Amino acid sequence: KMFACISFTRSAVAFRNCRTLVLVRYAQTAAAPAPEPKIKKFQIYRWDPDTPGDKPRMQTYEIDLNTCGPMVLDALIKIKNEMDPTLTFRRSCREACLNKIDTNTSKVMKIYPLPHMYVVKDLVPDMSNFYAQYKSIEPYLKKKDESKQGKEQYLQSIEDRQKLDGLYECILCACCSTSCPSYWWNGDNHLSLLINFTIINLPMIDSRDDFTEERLSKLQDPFSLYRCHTIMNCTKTCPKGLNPGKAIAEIKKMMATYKEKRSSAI
Amino acid sequence: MVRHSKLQKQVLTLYRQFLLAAQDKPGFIPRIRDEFRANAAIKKTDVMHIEYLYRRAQRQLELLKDVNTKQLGSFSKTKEDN
Repeated sequence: KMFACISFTRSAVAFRNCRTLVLVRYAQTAAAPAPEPKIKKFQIYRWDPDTPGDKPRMQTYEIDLNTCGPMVLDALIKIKNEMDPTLTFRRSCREACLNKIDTNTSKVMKIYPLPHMYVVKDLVPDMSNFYAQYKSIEPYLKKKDESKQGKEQYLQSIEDRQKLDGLYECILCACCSTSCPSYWWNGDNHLSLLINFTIINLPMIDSRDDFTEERLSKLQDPFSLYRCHTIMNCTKTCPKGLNPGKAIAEIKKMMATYKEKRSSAI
Repeated sequence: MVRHSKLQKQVLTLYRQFLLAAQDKPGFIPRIRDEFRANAAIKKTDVMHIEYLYRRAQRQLELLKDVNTKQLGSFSKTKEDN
């Protein structure tokens, strides 16, 4: 008749069998056995361009996984707080850093900044090119008739709203574009390669936007849209589970019908 | 006579662009000059560092050219006799 419940009060325990009393007492006073420290090694890319002569290098840190939260970002913050305050990274990574630390302590975990991006310091990449491209696609609703702006909501049917469902959750983390080899080779040379904007190019799919044709015509050149060879790295890497590859395919379809219309009009 | 390398020419054109952009805005030129003079000490072979500074400078040049930037001021410590 052993009761494993520790929440019993001492007075209640007194009525039990002597042996169980002693055992429950011990359970109350003794702490849980200290878990063995699970040390995991992190190798992190470091580069400080402000100190002259510094070269990019991998620095190893050891963390006890029991004292740290489950996410990679928790580990980075812990390193920055306790071990090395000079480690630099963008705090907003919380949304993107969804990876749990693999608790296998024999494997080293390597952390690099976004691939094929210029590094400003340690793990911080230079996102200005990405943001410039984002700005160039005009990611806002444009109406032909601006007079009703601000007066009341623009209405939309439920089916039209469902078309936006896989698209609006994008957090602009740039994981998709920086994982695409096509973007690596063509990203900054040809400024018109609009990044995996197709997710962000909500206005094109949104029925409330009137400028769909103009947006499609902007994509006519051979670089913006057609550098995509359906490598699908983007979908694999998206931290929110979205599908940029599919969205690009949808836009290619839209382009095809647009071209037909143009050629039939001529 | 040793000619300037491509990178050196790029840095020089960047310097010219900076000085041109800072013509009408007070307070920038001394700062630009100091920054370029200090970094002139970097070895010609340290291309990575130079390119990093070049990219940083281009971003700062965009800020300078922006219509909303008017002037630059700085605080300096003066000797106070107690």
